[in-house]
Amino acid sequence: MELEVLVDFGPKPNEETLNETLKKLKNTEGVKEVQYKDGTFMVETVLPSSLVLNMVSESTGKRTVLQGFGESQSAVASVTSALGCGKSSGVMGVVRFQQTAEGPLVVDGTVDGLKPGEHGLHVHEAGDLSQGCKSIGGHYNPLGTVHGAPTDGRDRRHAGDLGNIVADDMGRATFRILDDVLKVWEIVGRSISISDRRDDLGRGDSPESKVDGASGDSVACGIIARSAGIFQNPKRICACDGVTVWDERDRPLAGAGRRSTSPCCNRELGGGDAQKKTCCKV
Amino acid sequence: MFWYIFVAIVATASAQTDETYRAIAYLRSETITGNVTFTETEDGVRVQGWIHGLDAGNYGFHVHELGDIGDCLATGAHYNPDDVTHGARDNEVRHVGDLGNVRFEGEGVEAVAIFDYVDSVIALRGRNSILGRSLVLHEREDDLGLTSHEDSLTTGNAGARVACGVIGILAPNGPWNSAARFVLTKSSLILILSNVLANRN
Repeated sequence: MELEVLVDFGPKPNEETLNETLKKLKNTEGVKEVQYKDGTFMVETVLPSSLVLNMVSESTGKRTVLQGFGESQSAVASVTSALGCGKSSGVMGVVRFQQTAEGPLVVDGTVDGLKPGEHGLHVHEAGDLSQGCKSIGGHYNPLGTVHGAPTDGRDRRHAGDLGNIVADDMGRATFRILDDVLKVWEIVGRSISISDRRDDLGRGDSPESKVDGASGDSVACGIIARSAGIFQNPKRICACDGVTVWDERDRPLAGAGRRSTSPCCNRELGGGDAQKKTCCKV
Repeated sequence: MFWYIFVAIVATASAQTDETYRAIAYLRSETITGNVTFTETEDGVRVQGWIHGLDAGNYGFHVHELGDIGDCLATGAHYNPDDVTHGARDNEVRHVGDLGNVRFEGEGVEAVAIFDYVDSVIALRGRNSILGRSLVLHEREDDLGLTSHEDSLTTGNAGARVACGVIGILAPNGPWNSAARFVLTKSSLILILSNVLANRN
């Protein structure tokens, strides 16, 4: 696993400290490779991240933050009844997926424009929107099992079976589901779909019950895509205005609290195209 | 934990079937429609597709790092895991996501871009995987890193994004195993563990 450890060296690191730290890391058992670039140590290691962080902190005497892993753990789907990006009417929402280190997959979302009541939520096998939600295939079902409830064993549910979400009187469904079967890295490139009707969780009498919980057609769907980490937000993407992650927490997202030269940050936050600067590598 | 899972994934990847791996991106905006498929071949990934909705001309065509297509702006930069400069598709130095331009031909609303080529850099599985990222069509021609414009070596000065779509699985429908393995790049994914923050405070 590769760790990215960001160090608060200020404008320029002390060469001696830097070299000492690099040497120390390289001589540590379990560390395969270390590189330093732009305030960040890239450490290829099998050691737990906290150990590496502590090591870098102690050696440099500076604050450190774990900036990232060799493998990300977040995905997102823009769910809509229309196709692709752009404006749409009807059902619209965002579903986020996060895989915690040793815990379940967290499926967290808000979807608007639904009929009040219960709707099935399923991961489908394909990420093909060429025919809208009709071309996303069946429920993701790598084990070839029958349809079921998320609480059923993995041999008695589709991996993609996430049960039901509930839309309120305004047509909004807000949900947070924990699932022990699905993993974020196996569903990237597939789709998430919200069905017209309630999923009977395989308990119904109709033949469809064992296939899709008699939940009807998809009313909205979206491809599960790679996303920035859940702790990452636009202000962190855009440290290019000189406001670093160290003091970001205390600053507003935009406006007077920012330095005046923060064009790309404004852009990420909805600013115009004219404000684009190369530092954001659009 | 993730390390062990990853090892397990790699270990089982050898048990793949011979089925051809295919991905698809459906491009859509208010005026643009396009369908692009990606097929694994021995020489690379075959890119086939059509797009209509723009006037005749060349338009920048790139794979962006992320697939958050809420407004086409959250898709991040060109997919560039090697942190190199922008270039043409056949350049040695290029972003993985640099697919150059697509060429629209024809009169007015009849104009259409049709393309079919094999790219040896992008992949559907492994490190250079484009799965779950986004395919973006730009408003202008990509200058392929050749002009003196300040954006030439980062974006090819191709301007705003006019249509985009997430690259999703077309087939096979079963597990892709290593396919969805994530690769972290420098400009991406600043992930800070809450417990690290907690320790700091």
